[in-house]
Amino acid sequence: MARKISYMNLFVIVAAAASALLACSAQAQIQQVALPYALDALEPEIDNATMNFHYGTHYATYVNNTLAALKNATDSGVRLPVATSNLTALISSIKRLPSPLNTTIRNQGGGAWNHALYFKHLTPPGSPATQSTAISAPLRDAINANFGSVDNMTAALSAAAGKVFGSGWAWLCYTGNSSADLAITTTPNQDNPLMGQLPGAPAVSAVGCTPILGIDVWEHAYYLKHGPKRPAYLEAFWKVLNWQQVSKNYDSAVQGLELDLSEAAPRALEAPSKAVSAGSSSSGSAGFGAMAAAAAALLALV
Amino acid sequence: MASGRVINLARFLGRAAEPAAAAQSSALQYSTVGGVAAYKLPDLPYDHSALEPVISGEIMELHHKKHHAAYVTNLNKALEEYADAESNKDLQKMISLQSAINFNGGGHINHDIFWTNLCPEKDAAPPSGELLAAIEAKWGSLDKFTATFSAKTAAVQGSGWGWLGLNKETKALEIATCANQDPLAAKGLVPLLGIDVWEHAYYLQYKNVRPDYLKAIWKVVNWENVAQRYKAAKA
Repeated sequence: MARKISYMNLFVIVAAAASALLACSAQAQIQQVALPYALDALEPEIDNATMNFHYGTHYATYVNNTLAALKNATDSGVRLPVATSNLTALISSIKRLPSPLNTTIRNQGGGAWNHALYFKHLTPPGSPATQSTAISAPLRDAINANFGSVDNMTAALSAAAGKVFGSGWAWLCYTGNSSADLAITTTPNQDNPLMGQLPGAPAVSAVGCTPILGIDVWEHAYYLKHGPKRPAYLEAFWKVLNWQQVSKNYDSAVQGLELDLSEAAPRALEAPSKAVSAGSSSSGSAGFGAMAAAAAALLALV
Repeated sequence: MASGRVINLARFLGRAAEPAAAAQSSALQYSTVGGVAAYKLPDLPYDHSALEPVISGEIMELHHKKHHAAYVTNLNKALEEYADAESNKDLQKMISLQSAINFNGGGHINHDIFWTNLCPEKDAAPPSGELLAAIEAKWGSLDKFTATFSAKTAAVQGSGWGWLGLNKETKALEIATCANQDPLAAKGLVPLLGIDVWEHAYYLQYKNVRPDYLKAIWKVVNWENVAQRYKAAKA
């Protein structure tokens, strides 16, 4: 009798482990965000050639370099405080990553995250999503409360983007501050406000905020079409911005969810108190936890 | 209005402007036409298309007549505003202008050196004499030097420069990189050879393949100019 039950238990546990394992491998690694539009669909505002290089080469390289660094780290037995499949968690936890992985995640992982946000919130010019009527009511209220009007905000963000010296990004961020919940900030290279204030980096205003809108002002974002004329690119940018996606980003940020940078459903941001301390095994996503539990149960039966 | 006196860039960039001014071949030019001191965009020592096929004429024109020209224009504007603020004893304003002076002044100094560090391929010859001896002593061979320089410069994150410089204290050659338009002199090195790796320096031709640009550019390095700077720096 006892033997029958234990075989049943074994079967159930193996099945659970197998499905958890499959769930894990389905989101086992970071990948480029899928574009909901063709590479030439942003013409004439953002040209086909730029999209080809920017999405197909620059962004792809950031993702590949990030994956290579993570594989290298896990192959060498490096313990990471967050799941390697969670790019947002990796860049938010950058100060807890060991060297030299932290530098690679900063430059390459930052690049992967930033470009995911950027490409996901672009859309063909003239589409309804580019109209300001596509801004959700909560986001419109927040913009009006913080900047007076949408026009004021876009002017301020363009001005900030124009002032970035060298390579970097300009951001509209959710601060979580009830009195001023949106802020404009800029970061150099592939830094991101989610990384916090990094040693040696220039002071980032509204540091720690969650970007909901990002403008890439690295020269590769505009040079093929506009040469040095960054203002012309900035003007074009607003004509291909997907306000629906920006509204979704705002909504996710307000709810404390990670931004949807893939096809997967948003998952809860790890709260700092739940953060795994150094030395304990990596965990963070439900998949890992279920797998670990299933594996432990399986071992217990042997 | 500006008083018409020449505003020495060295005041803001410390020792940065000195080496540039010291090496006779690269004195930053300024004019006092109309009674207003203004730094001048230098002419290239060759045609815009002269570095083809290594660097396209299109890149050279944009780089020289737009990017470098903008640094000069913005530098002069910032210095004029600084002079006004100074005469009005507006310290707040003076401080707020520092970054514009650093960015644009550094950009002007760096590009002023860069154009002279390059020459048409047919006029380029490898280093010889004391400079070659110093390179070989430090890196083993010219090839090892260029490989090391290219690797370090390719690794610059975002915008910046790779430099061969002379350490003023030790009189030794060193490779260094700088971010954005930060002047090399801030690291205690006299600039001898600089390679610009801002994307505008190569993107139209090489796209994101910065290593290909760095491999090719050695064909148009003016080692004679580098040797002149080396001699002046050691003096």
